[in-house]
Amino acid sequence: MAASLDTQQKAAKLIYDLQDIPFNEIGLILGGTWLAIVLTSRLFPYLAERGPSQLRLYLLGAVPIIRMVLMVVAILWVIPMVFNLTFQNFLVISGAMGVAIGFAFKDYVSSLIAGIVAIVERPYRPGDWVRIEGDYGEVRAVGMRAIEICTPDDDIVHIPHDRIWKNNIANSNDGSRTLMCVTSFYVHPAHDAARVRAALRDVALTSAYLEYKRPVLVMLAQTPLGTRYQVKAYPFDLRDQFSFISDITVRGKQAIADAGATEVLAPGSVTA
Amino acid sequence: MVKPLVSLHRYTAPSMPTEHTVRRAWKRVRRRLLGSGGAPVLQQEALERASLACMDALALPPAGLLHRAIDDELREWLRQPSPDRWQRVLVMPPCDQPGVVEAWARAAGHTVLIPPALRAGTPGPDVHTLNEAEDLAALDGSGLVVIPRLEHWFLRHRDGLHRVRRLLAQLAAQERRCLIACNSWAWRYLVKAVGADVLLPRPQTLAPFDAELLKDWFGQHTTDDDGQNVTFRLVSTGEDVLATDKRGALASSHLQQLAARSIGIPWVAGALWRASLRVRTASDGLPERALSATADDVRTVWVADVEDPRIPRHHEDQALLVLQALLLHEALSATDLASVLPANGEADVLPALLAAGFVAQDGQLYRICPAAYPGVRGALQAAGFPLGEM
Repeated sequence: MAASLDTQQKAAKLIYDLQDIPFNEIGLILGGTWLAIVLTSRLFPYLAERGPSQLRLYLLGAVPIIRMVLMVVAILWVIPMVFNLTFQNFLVISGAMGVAIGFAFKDYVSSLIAGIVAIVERPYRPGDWVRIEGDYGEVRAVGMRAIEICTPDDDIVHIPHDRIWKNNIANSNDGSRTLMCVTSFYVHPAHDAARVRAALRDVALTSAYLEYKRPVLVMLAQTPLGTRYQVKAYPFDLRDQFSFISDITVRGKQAIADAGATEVLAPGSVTA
Repeated sequence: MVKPLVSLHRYTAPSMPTEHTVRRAWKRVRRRLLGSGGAPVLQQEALERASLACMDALALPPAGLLHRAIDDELREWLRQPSPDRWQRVLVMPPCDQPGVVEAWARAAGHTVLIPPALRAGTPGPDVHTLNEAEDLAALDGSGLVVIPRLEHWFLRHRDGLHRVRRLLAQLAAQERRCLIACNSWAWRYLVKAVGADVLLPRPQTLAPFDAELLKDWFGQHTTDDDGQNVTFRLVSTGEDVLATDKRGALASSHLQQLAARSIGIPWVAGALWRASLRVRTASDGLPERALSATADDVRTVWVADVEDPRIPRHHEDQALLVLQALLLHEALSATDLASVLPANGEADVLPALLAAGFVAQDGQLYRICPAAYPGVRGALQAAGFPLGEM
């Protein structure tokens, strides 16, 4: 009878007595997890920047996954050391957490959950080039609450993960090592379009940054400003995208001039 | 002994022995952590580069072997009155500075078609028309015509592809036997830029030089300038590199490593082998291990490790662009080189590449040193550059 009462009392207790909680062990687990996360988030990017470029995106992409796994393991390890996990207590803890999250930490937890979804669904990974609400840049880190992107102007922008619930995420490379670069030229309509198109194709084909496995396209369209040429091609490394576009721009302007065409100077300079 | 030509897509470079791969990785880690490796039989500082004139031939391709391989492959085709294809394509490994195919063609008395030097910064596509008309007129006639270096028919410049396009178009319409040789890096580029594989299908290449072929080749050069027999021993272990066991297999894995490192390219292997040969400078007695290893040798030449040269620090991107351009074109003048690189305002890295041993200067022309090719290829591959076909 006394033993049964003791068991009921133990079951009703939500948190173990302080003297029963192994703080040293918990400290070691949390410290070890923190250390492993810090090491992973330093070592993998270090290796990614110095190793073969083929492995770069895999190494960078592994960081948030490893961090999530380490944290889940640590939490599942520590919780039974602190809480007396019975079904009844589980309901109590869940209820309390639900109230706290609902009132105080709604946005924060929404971002945390979105971060987990982002790791699984992978709308972006470290090393990807993404556009989110007008911010374009390379994903430098995928944190628990937000991602960190570095723009071409070297601005660091932190964007909470919960944007994935409502906003479109444009990912330019989606985990691959290259991305399409589009270089535009506006040319006065009076010119030999076939010649200019062929010349611009050769400009892309002779770029030192060209990826051979991807296509080279030159599209043209009539616009109110003039004839718009778009050279679409891929560099062999996405980090060269701006060098690639600059190279095509410099040599494309010369090619247009050599082909006897004139670039449009400003809106309105083309007569309808 | 002579291996036939193989289809380009079936070219498989010799593989590195697994044990060596693991050892090399371990050595690298150990050097990084402890700053030293295992004790060699002899210290490399006590050795100097062997000045054996008879060994210098190893820096050149084994022309006889390669010419026989080409002869064997083309003999039947040349006999046919009406062959199923008029053009044959031979994709050559890079760094073929002496020009194996050209030498073969001249020795056999075939017509050789070489373009006039391309000029950089050409103002328009028709600048070369007159010369091209003269050049391409050589395609008319009978007998085999050989284009020994297709890579010399283009410049990776926005106006540099017209000539090769016209040449390929004319070749496709020609009913005359034509052998076209092209450097593997240029071939890969021309497949992309002008669809060379559509106009010239089924390219072939030389069979890779494996350890056995290297042994036979190096085995022909085992006497020094005084006619004495030479034994080649590894500095690290004292092993005789060319020794075989009872079954005739190589006792040391060094040549297998060399074949793998040189990606099966004979002149790269030859250059690395030549660069690795050392003789002793010190006149004092040999260490005990070296003494016992060389007891029966008439003359010992030591085979040392040859490290890949280092890309100039802080200028890696520009250096790699230069190296890729040189591989694509086989050789370029400084002016032509500037015309095929992006105008990015970066400093000229050629002097640094020359000093580091990546590039050699031959008059006005710069080209990749064969011994540096494995390092160059590795660096370009690590940086994600499109590679040559081999």
